[in-house]
Amino acid sequence: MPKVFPALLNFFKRSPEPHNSQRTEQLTKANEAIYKQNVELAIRNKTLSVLRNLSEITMKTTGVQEVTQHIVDIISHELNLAGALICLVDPKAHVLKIGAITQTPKIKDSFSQVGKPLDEVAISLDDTSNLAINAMNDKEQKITGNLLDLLTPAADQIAADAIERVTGIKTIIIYPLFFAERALGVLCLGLAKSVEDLSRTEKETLHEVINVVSIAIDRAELMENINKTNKDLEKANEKLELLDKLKDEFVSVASHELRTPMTAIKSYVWLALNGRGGSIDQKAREYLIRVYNSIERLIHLVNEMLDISRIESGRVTLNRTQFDMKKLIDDAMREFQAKATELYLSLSFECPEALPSVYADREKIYQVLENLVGNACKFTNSGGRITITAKVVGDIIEVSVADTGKGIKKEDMSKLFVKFSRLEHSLVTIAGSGSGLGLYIFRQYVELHGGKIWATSEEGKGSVFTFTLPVAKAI
Amino acid sequence: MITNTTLKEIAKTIILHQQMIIGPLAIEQANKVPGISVSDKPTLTLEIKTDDSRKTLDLLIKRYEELFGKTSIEVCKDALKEARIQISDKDIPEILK
Repeated sequence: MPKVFPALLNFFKRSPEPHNSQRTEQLTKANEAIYKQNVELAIRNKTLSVLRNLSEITMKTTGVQEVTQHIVDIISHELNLAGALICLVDPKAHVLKIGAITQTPKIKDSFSQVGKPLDEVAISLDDTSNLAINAMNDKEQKITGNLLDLLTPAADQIAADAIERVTGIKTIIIYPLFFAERALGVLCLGLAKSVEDLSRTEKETLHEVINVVSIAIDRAELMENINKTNKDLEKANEKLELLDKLKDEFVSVASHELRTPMTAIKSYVWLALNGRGGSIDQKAREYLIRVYNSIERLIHLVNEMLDISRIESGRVTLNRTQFDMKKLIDDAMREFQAKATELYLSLSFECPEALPSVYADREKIYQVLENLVGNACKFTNSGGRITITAKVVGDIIEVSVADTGKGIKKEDMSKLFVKFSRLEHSLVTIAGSGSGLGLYIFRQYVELHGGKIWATSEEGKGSVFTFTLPVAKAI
Repeated sequence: MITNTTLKEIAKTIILHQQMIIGPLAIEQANKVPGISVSDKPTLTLEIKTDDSRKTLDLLIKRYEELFGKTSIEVCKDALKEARIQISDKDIPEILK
């Protein structure tokens, strides 16, 4: 309250003389002006207090049912209503249902007149005999002195009159609730007086409250949907994890079960080819060689499947040691050279004098290199060239295997390093019945070491496959 | 016929509403109306000790009007609207009609 009021009153006490009447009049007018401002402030204060209570509750509460119940409770209490009700749209069922109602004994007892539990009351969104539906359709407030206008067809006039008698409701104001053009439902306020008997504070507070109610309900619905989606996603994730685990187990078991008999078959075929079962004629030898090669390919495939299973279940163990990358490549060259010569290919290794050490699983890196050189040999015609280069770039070692082979089509580049992907038919024919797993596996090995692997190619001119490894000091 | 109890309830409501606008001045001015005794500690309590409660209520409303003008009458009217006091139109003080 402004301090001017006591001062003014003291002035009145001290100065009753007529010659002060003009000043008195001026002060009285000032007094009245200040009083008017205070009235506006008091109304605003009351409105803001209600809005703050609503906001606090809705921020702390989740769940549409809880939020709507809090709203009707707060509004009923703050505005001294006979009752309040929120009905919400159920878009799937195309009905309006009771979301929350003031929980006073009078309301609870009187609404039993409806004849069924309130959560079973549903008004079709097409039923224009109901004033709440009309309020939503017209997007405007409706006022009625007859509760039946709100309850029809869920209740009859006798029930409506009984409820009005018990609760003292004389007027019902129905506010449609919208958020971003979406109809949420209606807020219904039961007054024990007519609308004309609403005070300024009550009118202004109601006007402000509607928007907040709409926002609160929309937010609660959104949170409910998010929570439900999260739960669904969690369930789906659990199922996927289980399926993944089952798949890995299956691959692992199947691969082991397959490998054992295939190894046995390979062993016996080898024995037969080497005369351990007696001599065999040329034709039989030919057939047995084909069997032997096929078994080898099958065993290779099963091993790749096992590798994939281990990688994807995180069971790959890296036996890291510090070693000289140049020496590894030199050692590999001795092995690759024989094969390259056999295919009339030129194989060379270019490298600076010294390469720093790497800290890696030597066997796996050797396999990567072996695979890349092997592919280069497969896809390069006789007379072609394969070059291995190694260099230091910052704190990584970059190893490339370049060939002058057929190259890879642009549209096939994205299929490299991907599980089970196969390139164009002609390349597959050259490669034999490849599993499409090799490059994927070796990409995993390189990436497990903190490196990268990629390829560049030009159709008809050749390809370059490159992988990197961090140098030992950088780890 | 309006009872003294109802008139006392109306007076209390009016003082409460005036208190929201002018603070302790509302109590101070109410206590200057003959027959009215008000205290707001700890909560608002009101006693009307006169033969004519209706006249005392009118004096209270007029007191506020003298100090703060017609707006204070509107505040008194709103106070009556907000209070859930069962009162017929003919029993509403003339000054608040």
